[in-house]
Amino acid sequence: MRMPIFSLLALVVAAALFAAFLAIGNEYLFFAGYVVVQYVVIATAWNILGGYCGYVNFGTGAFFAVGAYATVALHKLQNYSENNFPPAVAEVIAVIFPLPIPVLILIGGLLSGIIGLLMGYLTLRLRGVFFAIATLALAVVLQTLVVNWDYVGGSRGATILRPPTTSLFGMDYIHYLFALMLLLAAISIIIARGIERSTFGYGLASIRDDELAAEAAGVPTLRLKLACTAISGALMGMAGAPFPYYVGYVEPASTFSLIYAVNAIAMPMVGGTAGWLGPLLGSLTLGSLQQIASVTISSEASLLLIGVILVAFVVLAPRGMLGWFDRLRPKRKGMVATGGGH
Amino acid sequence: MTAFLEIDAITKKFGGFTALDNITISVGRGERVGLIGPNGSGKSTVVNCLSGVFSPELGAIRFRDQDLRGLRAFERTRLGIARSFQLPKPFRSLTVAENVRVPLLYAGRGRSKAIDEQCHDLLTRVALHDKADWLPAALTQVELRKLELIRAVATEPELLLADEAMAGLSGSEVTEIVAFLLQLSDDGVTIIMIEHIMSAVMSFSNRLVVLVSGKKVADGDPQVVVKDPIVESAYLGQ
Repeated sequence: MRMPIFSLLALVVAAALFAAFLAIGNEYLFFAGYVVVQYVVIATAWNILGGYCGYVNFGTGAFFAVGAYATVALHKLQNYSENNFPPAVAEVIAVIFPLPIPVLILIGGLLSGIIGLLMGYLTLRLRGVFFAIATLALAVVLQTLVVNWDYVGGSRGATILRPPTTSLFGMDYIHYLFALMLLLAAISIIIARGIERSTFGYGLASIRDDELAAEAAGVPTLRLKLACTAISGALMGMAGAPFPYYVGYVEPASTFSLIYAVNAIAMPMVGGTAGWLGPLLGSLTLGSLQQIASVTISSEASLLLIGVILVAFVVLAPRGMLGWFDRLRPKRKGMVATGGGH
Repeated sequence: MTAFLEIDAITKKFGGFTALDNITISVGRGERVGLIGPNGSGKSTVVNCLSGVFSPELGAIRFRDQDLRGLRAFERTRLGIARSFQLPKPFRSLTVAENVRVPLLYAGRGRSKAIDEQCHDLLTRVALHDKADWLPAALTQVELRKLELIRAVATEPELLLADEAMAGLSGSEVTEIVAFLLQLSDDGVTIIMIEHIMSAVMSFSNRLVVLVSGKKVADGDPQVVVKDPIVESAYLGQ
């Protein structure tokens, strides 16, 4: 399928989903759906670096939190400027702020993209488990910074009061956030698929398989890896930017939570890391299961569930759900023989 | 006059171990150089210094009058220095055709033909076109070697470093690879062949360079070099 058609289809599916949720009319559906769709973005973003390029990022929480805290910082700027800035500056800020959420998403994405680039520059010489540890360390460093940054609430956290409706057609705020996240998910999937079929995607695959051979084939590995961490980080930050408006209260421990990292890894693994469909399948199933388990059993049970499912998949279906369909593609001989994916 | 490739007094150390000691080799365009030596003599280190995996502590390498210092491996590939690896390093998650596609996309210069067509043409040259959709895991050893070579050829090199492209192959398979390399040489590619299989080296090279413990001990006409007492003692003992 050609890219423009695929893109259009992704957007139509997202719009149809939104319309279906409106038709069902259950408010909780939007609230829970937001989290699931947010994980579609996160898992897709993680897979661009982890699945396509073979670098396991454990710092998803950090990128997500950079997006979230960028929003908090900008949200607080209006009040802060009234008391601390010269009146002229404060007036300008009062006109511009509060920034619309799409703008906050872009800012969050830009910031975490830059963080991704910096992290990449520092850590991409490391491979395998060492890279994973370095990304985890990044998350700890950033969390420590935020805990000690009083302006965004430090370890107390920050409360954000969102209006009940948006200025956009008087839309319900949760509906609005859900629609934005759906759009972001569609865009992430379009980006992921676009990368897959591109020269960039082939370059990433060659890096994943063998970096020395990739260089010998003329692939500028460092440059591609940097671009990859930046794109992946940016999408994670974008997923985090509307988060403060969604929960209303942000504090470091939950925003930097390891749960994001674990889910970001588990979802593509369960779905299959080879293409855009894997993270989508994985995040939809695991994300929904988590939401259902949180309501019917307990939120701790939902975590346990992820652990058990991840272990089961790693042992029994190392190529994820997509691996179940490999048998239907006899053309790619050797697929079954290679077994455990990358 | 400057040579096509000049390895000018390079020294490469790993900690206290001197892998290459003041090596000077000058290669003219179109030459077929056989680089031989016992295990650990530094043959692969030469390849790695040329292709940009290692950088020598002393000395310089010039390719077509350009100093290669500071150029990364992929930049050297794009300049026209291709290599194959001693142990085949196929891109395991990509099909055979995609394996060739990567260098075509990143280092290929011929944009006249569609990339699919170029892939097909290249694979036909090593009789892998029927297996274009296979994954490397399903290939035999000799096919992996051919894939390794054709992936290097896909970068349209002027200089090819064939690092033990025939290790572990049977007699007829060796002949096949040598024929392929000779054809490549006829097409104008300068080739440095690193090899243990003497029959292959002797039938291919028009010049032989011998390394022993990181030092160059002989360089010249293959028939003369193999009779050199120093070379004989290095290989057979005194």
